[in-house]
Amino acid sequence: MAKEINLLNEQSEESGAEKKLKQRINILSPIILLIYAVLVIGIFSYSLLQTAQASDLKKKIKNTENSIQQMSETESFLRGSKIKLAAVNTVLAQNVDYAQTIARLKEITPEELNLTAMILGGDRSVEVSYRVLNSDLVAGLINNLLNPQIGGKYFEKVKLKNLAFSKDGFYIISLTFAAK
Amino acid sequence: MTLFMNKRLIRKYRAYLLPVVVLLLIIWLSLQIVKPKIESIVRLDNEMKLSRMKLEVLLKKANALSVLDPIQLKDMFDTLNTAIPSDKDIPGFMLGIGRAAQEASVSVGLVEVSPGSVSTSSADKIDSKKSITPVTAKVTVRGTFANIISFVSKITNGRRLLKIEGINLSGAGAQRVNEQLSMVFSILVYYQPLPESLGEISLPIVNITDSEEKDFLMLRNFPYYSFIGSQDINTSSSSVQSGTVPVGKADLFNR
Repeated sequence: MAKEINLLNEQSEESGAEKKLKQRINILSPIILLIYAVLVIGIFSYSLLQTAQASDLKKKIKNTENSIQQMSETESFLRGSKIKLAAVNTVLAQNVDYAQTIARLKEITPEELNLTAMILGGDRSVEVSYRVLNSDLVAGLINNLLNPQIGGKYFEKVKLKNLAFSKDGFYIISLTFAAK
Repeated sequence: MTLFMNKRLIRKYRAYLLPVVVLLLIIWLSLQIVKPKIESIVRLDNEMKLSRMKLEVLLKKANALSVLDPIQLKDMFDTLNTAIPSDKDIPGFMLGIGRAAQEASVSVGLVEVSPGSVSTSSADKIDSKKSITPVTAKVTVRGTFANIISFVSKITNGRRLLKIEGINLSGAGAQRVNEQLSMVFSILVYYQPLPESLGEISLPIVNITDSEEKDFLMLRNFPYYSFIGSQDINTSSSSVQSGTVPVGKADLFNR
């Protein structure tokens, strides 16, 4: 019997602690729900605001794109000019000044030499053939080409391609070299 | 007995019902509504970041374009298009060679060109990725040495850009002053097709650099030996005007 009384006491003590807990929980729950609801409302409001901002941004992008579209002619002229200018630059850089090469060739050629053939290449290569009366002139031309003060300033990689002596007493000389 | 026990349990845990319902509601709301919303916010936020960057680029481009002078740019483009045309413009090249030869007092013996398809716009699909395309031509010129050199100078300093790949003088005898020589020129005539579209609108514009401006100014001063810029051709009296030539030959081999 005494045991039963003890049990009742313990039960009533537990009920007190439980009651407090229940009370707290019952008060806190709606508060938490309320806070959560506010948070959800906040998230939705932010989302709405963000959507409005996104739509505004889209509108701005569209307007700017339209204004760029209106100036597309200007852009196409600019872009076309840039493409052409790059090509111009490439071609100009590749160009060889043939008139200058020929003028320099004249400068080093002895007067009695007669040019019979000339091939100028886009890679700055030069091939010339001369008809000469005596071998001194041949030596003179080669010396001029090799002399760093005369032909060496303008030409390099000098090679004697062919040297022949014809029946009519002329030397036929072919030289190859490269313009610097 | 079981019913009694259940009633007791319900009575005991009735107070927890509200917190549990609240908790479950929060979990359900979080999973079903809040989580997707937050995900969409994050996604939209990333999109907006990109959009802001795009807008910035577009505004920059619009501002840069608005300060450019379209008339001046058109003039620049037209000039450059005469230097390196968008199509092969072989007739223009041939006429140019003829006019340069005339000015240099040399005679053009033969102009051989292998242009392939005649018009890039009608016959060939334009390959805009190709940077610059040459057409090979062989030009035979006859004149004195000095005049031929003048011709070389004229065509290399002409507006229509070309590259002399080689000059071949052969068969010249003992050179005398003002002796007529014959020279063969291997020439590369350049053209460059333009892209068909401007591409992405957000592509930034790149302005003309100082060195490019310098190239352009130099090129503008080069004489243009071709149809445009030279003497006007009286098209009204031309018999080769489109649609004015009588057509319908009965026998193709008869004169």
